Amino acid sequence: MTSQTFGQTFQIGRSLLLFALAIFSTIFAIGCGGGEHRGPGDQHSVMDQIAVESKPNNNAGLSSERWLEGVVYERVEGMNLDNLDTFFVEHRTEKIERFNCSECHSEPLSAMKSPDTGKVRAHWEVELHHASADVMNCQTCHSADAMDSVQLIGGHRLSLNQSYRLCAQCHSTQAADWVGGAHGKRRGGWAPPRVVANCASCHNPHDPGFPTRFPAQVSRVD
Amino acid sequence: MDRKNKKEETLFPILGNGGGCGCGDEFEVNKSGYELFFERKLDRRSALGSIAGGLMAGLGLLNAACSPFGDTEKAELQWDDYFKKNFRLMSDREKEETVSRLERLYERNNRGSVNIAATDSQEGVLYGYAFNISKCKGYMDCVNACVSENNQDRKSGMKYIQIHELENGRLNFHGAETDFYHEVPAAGHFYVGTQCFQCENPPCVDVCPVKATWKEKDGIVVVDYDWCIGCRYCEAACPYHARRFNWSEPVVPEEELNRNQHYLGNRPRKKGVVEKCTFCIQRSREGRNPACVEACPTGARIFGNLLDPESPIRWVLANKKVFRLKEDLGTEPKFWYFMD
Repeated sequence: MTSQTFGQTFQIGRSLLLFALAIFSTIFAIGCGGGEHRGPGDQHSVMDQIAVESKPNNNAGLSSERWLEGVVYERVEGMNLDNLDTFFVEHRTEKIERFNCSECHSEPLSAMKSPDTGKVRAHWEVELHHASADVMNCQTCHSADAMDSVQLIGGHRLSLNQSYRLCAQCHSTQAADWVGGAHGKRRGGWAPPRVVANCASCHNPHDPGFPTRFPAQVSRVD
Repeated sequence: MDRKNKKEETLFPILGNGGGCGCGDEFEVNKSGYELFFERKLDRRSALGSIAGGLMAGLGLLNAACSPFGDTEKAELQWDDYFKKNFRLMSDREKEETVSRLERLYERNNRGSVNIAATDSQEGVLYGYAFNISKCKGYMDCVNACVSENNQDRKSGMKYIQIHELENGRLNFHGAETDFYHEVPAAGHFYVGTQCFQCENPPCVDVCPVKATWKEKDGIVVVDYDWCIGCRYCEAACPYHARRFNWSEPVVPEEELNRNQHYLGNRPRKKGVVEKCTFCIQRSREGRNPACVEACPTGARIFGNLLDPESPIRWVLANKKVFRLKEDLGTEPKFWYFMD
């Protein structure tokens, strides 16, 4: 092999190498550039992205106030948890048909129930299907001499708007989920303020389970 | 014909009649305007563009001429609407013009009016969804709410949400019943709802040949219905069967129409385009919950901003055992399932 042909071979080899490098870097650039929807700085998983991009109390200035028209609510109290400043609960008293109870219950229950008046039982629609009779009766939650409020097991009286504290005595898991956000119904929208339904807004306290019924639709999707 | 073939690229080779039809013989005798136009050097793209433009102009003129009232406003609106850009390429002003033109067109074509928004994604917001499979009872109030909120075709009974009835202890969709109508919840069964999961890495977006579908900055995957060509690649690419196709002209009775609309959301679609759940973009970008979340009577559906550490959805992700469907595909759905 003459030196001239060697030089030519070397040049060809070098240009081939450069060519291969160019192809490789193009493939690399395309491969690592990813799809168009993946912007620069995006993380591999959405959880990583959330961890990096989270900012407290930043909801783009959006508010649910507009969607809370007609909803009466108050601050959640007595749940011994730390997010209570921004956590509100829907009122119940405005929604109960025959409130205040004291409008009828003007005298002690024993007097109203006496055989002399001929009234033995009212509230026929109320039947207790909540725990067993060993655990609960009317007096577990209602006090005969303070009908406008409910009472805790220790005797402390609460407004019906705070009945979530009554339920939380036994249903502590549900209460923790409710405060956190895994249980319950949000009122308004997803943006703050966070207003949720009271326990008794969805559950009938005398029969708290959800009934079976026919679905609103046939689920079929073609 | 030889001298003709020597020309670099005229319109005629594109039209495919450069060969022996003999119709080009009178050319180059006198250069009229017509000839100058047709002998321009054209690339393929602008040639096709001028053919389409000419065709549309002809049709438009024909339409205007045959209309008994000479409805030029409507013709102009339709013309402008036909030649509008892809939504992502529009400036804010063009977006405004486009939606007001659509509103005006709706008024012209129907009795009522609609309100179409073009609200952009907001900074610091990434939408996420959680579904409690212990709470869902299969009542399907969500499906009804979705259909009426999103103006889905009533004729074909299109639904974005599918509720699957599964046997207790077996989280396997192969044995799931999706065509049930009996009292719910059925003993020994639980219910799992599926819809578009707004993947962070959406395969449907990658396959679209015309860029008619994309992921917005707030994580919602949307479709520009006027840019979709109906090839249905996205429908095939979706591993969750979340996309729906309009096989016929969608029918929504005027009195049932939701008039609060978004350009990328529930505005009326047409035959031959793909649509899907958008987390009710017309609602969520206003701070509201999607219609399914609001309608759920059991509180099984939770929606919120994933970038707000105080939001209930973040509490669910941090405190519950959550999972997503087909996680191994790497699609990164922003839709988690959990149980109590």
